[in-house]
Amino acid sequence: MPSVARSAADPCESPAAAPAGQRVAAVTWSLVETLVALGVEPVAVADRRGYSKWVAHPPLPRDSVDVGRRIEPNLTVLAGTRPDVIVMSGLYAELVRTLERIAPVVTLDIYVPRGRPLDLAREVTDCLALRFSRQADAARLVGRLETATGSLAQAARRSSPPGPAYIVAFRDADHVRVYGENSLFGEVLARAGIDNAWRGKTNFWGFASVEFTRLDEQAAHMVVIGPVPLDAAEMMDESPIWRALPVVRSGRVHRLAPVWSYGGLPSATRFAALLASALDDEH
Amino acid sequence: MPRGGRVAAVLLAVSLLSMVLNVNGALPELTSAFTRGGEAGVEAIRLLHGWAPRVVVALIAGAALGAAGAVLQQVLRNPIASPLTLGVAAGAQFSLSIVTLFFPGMLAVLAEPAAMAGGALALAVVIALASRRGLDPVTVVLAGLVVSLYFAALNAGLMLFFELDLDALAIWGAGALSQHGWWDAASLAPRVAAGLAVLAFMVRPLTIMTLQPDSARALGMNVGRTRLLALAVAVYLTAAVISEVGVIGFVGLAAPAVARLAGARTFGRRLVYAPAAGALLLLATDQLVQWLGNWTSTLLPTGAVTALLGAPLLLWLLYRVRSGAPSQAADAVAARPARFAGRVAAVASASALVVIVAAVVGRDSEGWRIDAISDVIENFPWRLPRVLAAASAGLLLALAGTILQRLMRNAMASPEVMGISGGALAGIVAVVYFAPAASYPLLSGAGTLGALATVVLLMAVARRGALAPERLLLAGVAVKAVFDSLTWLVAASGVPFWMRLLNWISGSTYGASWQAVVTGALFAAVLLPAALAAHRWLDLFALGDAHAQARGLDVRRARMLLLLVAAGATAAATLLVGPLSFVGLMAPHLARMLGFARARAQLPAACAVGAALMTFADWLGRTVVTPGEIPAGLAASCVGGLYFMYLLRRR
Repeated sequence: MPSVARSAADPCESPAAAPAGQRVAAVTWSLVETLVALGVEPVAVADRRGYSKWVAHPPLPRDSVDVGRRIEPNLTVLAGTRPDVIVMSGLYAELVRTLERIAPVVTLDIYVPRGRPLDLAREVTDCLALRFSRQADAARLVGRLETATGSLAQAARRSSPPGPAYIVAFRDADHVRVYGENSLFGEVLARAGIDNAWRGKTNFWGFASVEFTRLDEQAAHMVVIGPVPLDAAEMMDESPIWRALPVVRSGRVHRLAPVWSYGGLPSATRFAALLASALDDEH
Repeated sequence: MPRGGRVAAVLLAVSLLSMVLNVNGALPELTSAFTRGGEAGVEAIRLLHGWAPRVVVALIAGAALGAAGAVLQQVLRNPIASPLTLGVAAGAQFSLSIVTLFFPGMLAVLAEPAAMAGGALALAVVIALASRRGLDPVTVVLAGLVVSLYFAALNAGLMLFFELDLDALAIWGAGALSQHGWWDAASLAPRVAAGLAVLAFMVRPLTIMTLQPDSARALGMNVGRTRLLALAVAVYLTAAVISEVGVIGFVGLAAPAVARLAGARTFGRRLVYAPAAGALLLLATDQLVQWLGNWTSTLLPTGAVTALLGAPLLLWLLYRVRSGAPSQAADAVAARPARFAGRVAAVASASALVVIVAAVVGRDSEGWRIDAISDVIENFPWRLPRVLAAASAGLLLALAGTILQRLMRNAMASPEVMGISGGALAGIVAVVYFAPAASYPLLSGAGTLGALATVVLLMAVARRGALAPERLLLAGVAVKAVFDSLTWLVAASGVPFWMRLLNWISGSTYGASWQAVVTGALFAAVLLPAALAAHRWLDLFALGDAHAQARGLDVRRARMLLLLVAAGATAAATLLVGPLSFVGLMAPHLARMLGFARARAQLPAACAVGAALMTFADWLGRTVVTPGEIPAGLAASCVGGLYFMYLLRRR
């Protein structure tokens, strides 16, 4: 597990004293969703409003205190929640150093250069489960992912042809983030045996930012991740270019509810499940 | 062929060549659809409904901006006026952010009136600020700069808290011309045509008015009303383009310049040439950008690219503009007796009090609190470094500001306004982009290099004017524009790094570690005594270079050394609180108002005031919107921007 930081002590090891009932604060949303899915209620999370709009599921426990922006959680508020441990991405080293002054920090990363997000999401889930004694829940989450990708694969086989598929999120009426093979969604797609239609370059986080008019017309499916901006929805109704795309003509555009594209296992599972039911609805 | 003609020929050639390259692939399909009948393929539809309207939009938007620039330059008699330099773009942008965020459903209806209102408000403020000095070109542009900075700070504040919701604005702020049908072209065309038509009727009055205002009045013209109408049309044209397409940098500045080069001596001529030049300029850039876009996985928005290309143009124009403004001599307040030690001590203890209050008063999820001793000690590990970081950043900025104002003999000089902070930030960001976990000493070094590079660039540009203070300021404006457009390129790419960059720009003391505090304190401990040791130089500079030279000062060497100190101080401060703040501008003034006139007194007093100001801004930002935090740089620039405007107005 190269990406999981193992500095002084093994972060996945639960501390000898009080293995359960630890007060945990979670900053990075992929870790927040993983914790909540594991049944661990964080005492503090970053940006509740943003989480409920962009991640949506699983919903946050009512009692988790909002500590403000993800990149700069409010230190006084965070300290006030008296966490025993803080879990967050280690990408921004100095934020980690800052938060270490409040409580021990466990850094876990799903998005790293040349990393494979789905594998890392699973490792991170196992690590958190070990740390908070939730191994059974972790096994359940992994099982759910297997089930969801399984039904996605079946749904894809029923829809002919099964691929290739674009996965995009609209930024405005003209521009999309298109997710490549090294993204969370891209890996789910691959696991379900569906080809990814985007063959171009992608960045560190697994996407490219391009005009939708650059999307090649050979795709069998176009998966649109929500929320769709209003002007993009309007564009889909009106634009001759959009309507000329064969994938649009054949009615194979699948608009999904919001799923966090930098998420963990729960987001991957949710993506697979949403897409599977969208494909099934085709018939 | 006149130079302008050559420019036009080059633009035309570039446009045509890249147009051919861009449509090449689709042509066979299009011709076969036409010749053999039947339905056009996707390539052909893309060409007809994506590429073609984009060409038209680029032409219309370029023409509108060119015309707006020509009118602004004519009415304000200012060759460096443009929608961008006058704050119109920033005002429009901010009001569009507000609409996007709070009335998203009405964006289609409200976008244009909102952009119009925001742009008009910004221009009105600029004109009000500069009217006292008879709309002197340099003052107008300075006012425009400060209004732009102010709106940009407000906009950055919104983006910080709603970055995901305002993602579309990140693209739009960078001015992407992408089209998916003819709607933008269709809605832009009649608006721009109407604006140009109104202008066509105003050619004569505007020409007479600017040539001979007196005879215009004698002819019974209402000069004020004509000016106002012309300005309104310019704002309308700009707002139409901004709301429909996005922010396009520098076309409004460059097009009239090209028109002048092409030999358009009269306003009537310029009103024909400038839109034509603007249209060509934008088309050439846009086609080139489209072609380059085939090889990238990131967006290359046209607006940011034109700004990047246009900034050198502004620098070049600066050589040619003559300012009516005499150099501001530093206020020669009567020298006070040297017994300032007591008063410096008083200011310093007042600052210390602010620092203490900031350290012990806080707010958490339960509300405001004055910490008990035990809490203070418990909170210290994460609160004290921030307080100290803010204080030392304020001190360093005040130091840099005092040196620059005395050196330039200009009350408006400061590291923020001159783009030196922006240079430091660019250096830091370049390192962070490639190595997110870069160490602190590395970042300090990169920041100092960036600041130094900016200073060297500014000196090189200003050399011809023998470092004329006003020129140097304007060169700073251009340098800042380059950094801004680079920032927008990152914004448009949509990577999460953008959030982090925005955070740096907003200047929070959040990440301040003890290491950072010690670095900042070390810089202060070396640079403040160094500047104090040179206090006599600073006083001599106030007399003017010739006098200083006559009194035996090696002006060049002294200036270089002092600029080096200012650059180092700026870099260290930028590392702590980012490039926005205005503290470097305000603190020296406040010190002087408190009666500290000579350099030996002003330096320490300004440093104390700066430290207190920044600490206060940081504390305010940390507490007012709990659990969110407004970064110190933003909080300070909201206060400082207002002060700067007041200063300009009073000047």
